[in-house]
Amino acid sequence: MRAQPIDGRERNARSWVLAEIGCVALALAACLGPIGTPTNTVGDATTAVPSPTAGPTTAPPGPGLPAGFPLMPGMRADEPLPEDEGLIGRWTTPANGAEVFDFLKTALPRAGYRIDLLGPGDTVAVIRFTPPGGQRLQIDLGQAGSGAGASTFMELRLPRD
Amino acid sequence: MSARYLRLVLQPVLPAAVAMGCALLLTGPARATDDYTLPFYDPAVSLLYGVDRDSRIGVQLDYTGRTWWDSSNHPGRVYDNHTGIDYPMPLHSPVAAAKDGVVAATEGGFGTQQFGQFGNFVRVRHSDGRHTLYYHLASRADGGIAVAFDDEVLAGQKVGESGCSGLCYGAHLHFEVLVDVGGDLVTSDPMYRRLWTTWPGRIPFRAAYVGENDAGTVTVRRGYTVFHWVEFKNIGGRTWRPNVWPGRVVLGTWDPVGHDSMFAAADWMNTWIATKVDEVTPPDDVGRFTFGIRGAPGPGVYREDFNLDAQGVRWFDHDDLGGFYVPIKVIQQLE
Repeated sequence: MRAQPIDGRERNARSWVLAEIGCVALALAACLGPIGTPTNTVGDATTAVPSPTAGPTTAPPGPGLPAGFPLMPGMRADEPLPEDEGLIGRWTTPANGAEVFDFLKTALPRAGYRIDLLGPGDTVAVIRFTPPGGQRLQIDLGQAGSGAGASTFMELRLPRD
Repeated sequence: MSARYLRLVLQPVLPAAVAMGCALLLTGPARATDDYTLPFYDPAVSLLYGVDRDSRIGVQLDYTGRTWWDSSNHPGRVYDNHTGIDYPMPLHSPVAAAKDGVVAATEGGFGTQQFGQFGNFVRVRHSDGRHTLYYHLASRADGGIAVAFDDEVLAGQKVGESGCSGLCYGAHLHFEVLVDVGGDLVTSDPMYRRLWTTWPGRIPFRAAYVGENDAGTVTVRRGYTVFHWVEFKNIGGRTWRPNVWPGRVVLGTWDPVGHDSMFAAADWMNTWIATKVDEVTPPDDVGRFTFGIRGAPGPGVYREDFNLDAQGVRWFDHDDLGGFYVPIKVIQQLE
């Protein structure tokens, strides 16, 4: 199953509404002080502003996506998805793989998911996790491109050996 | 009688261990050679990715002989074009030489978690012509490099601490075995070629308690000495030797480490080393440690804690060993 592409107008409208909610949330957070990690309610990750210190956004609902799946700010959804049975979603970010791995290591448990395997390598990483009441899923990280233009891709999929 | 030996519950291991166990069943154990050991001490650390023995992009040949016709990463096995073995471990975990050798190169100038094309490493040259590489280490300023160029190192000796420098997605050790081919260092696969002491490889220094001549409370008359022995099985990758330096395996006092013992007898090597291993003990053999316990303090009930030490290299993992102590009762006269 795959994430459904979002219509452009719908995306913009949703972005505005959710951005306003985000502003209110940020204002509230500023008033309340640093209680926990701020979680934006912006639903469309493609419009998020990259910031290494910003909190996670949440992926828009889509087929196979667990509820509340956290996305690192700056993640862009890759669409259409390549033909790959078991692939649920794919995103790309200019952040390096270590930053993405560190983000997920923290954000997944905060989203209520149980991490079953943390597997960092040189230019790859795998994370297996289980959402509450859900089936185990797998995140693959890898490097796209090379040199100054290198980016990091993240795939969410059903586990494979 | 108090339980003096407490075995700890084995920590869960990654699925890789299962895969390696399957490989063992399929291929049978290799004879112990004492040649190469695993480059760390933590028994909970397990392989996550091995060497890709096929240099073509999109074709992966793992250490079991399985070929994967894709570029995906396969936990427990391999990922595309990988030249070493990845062992995930926390930052600043000790990293040990896999075999005796001489330090051929070090780099420690990058940040412990500095992402980039280059990272910190130690490379050791061995007498068989191979080199071993320990990569992604913490910075030298952060304690990541424990040796210097041209240093002689022993198998199991700490050479550095793990980090995440260079192309690294999370803290791990990238361990690589290289073969010198006409001056060029060419990657090889130590798992496929079975360079390890056993299959799968062993960490250098590990022991399992076997027994004692008297497993109860040792009773000793004040001013007298009784002789005691304890046996441990060598479940590590290195042979225990009584007469080499550094690396001689001894039984020293523990908790606090190396304290002067009230029970040191005349045969002790000093006030905190009770004895060295009685005989050369290769992997899988049982080593005995014989020593006196002198009833020096006044009558009462005591205990003395011990641990095994490969002198100048490292103490054994006391938590993994389960801990060892001798309950001692000193009496004024024979009861």
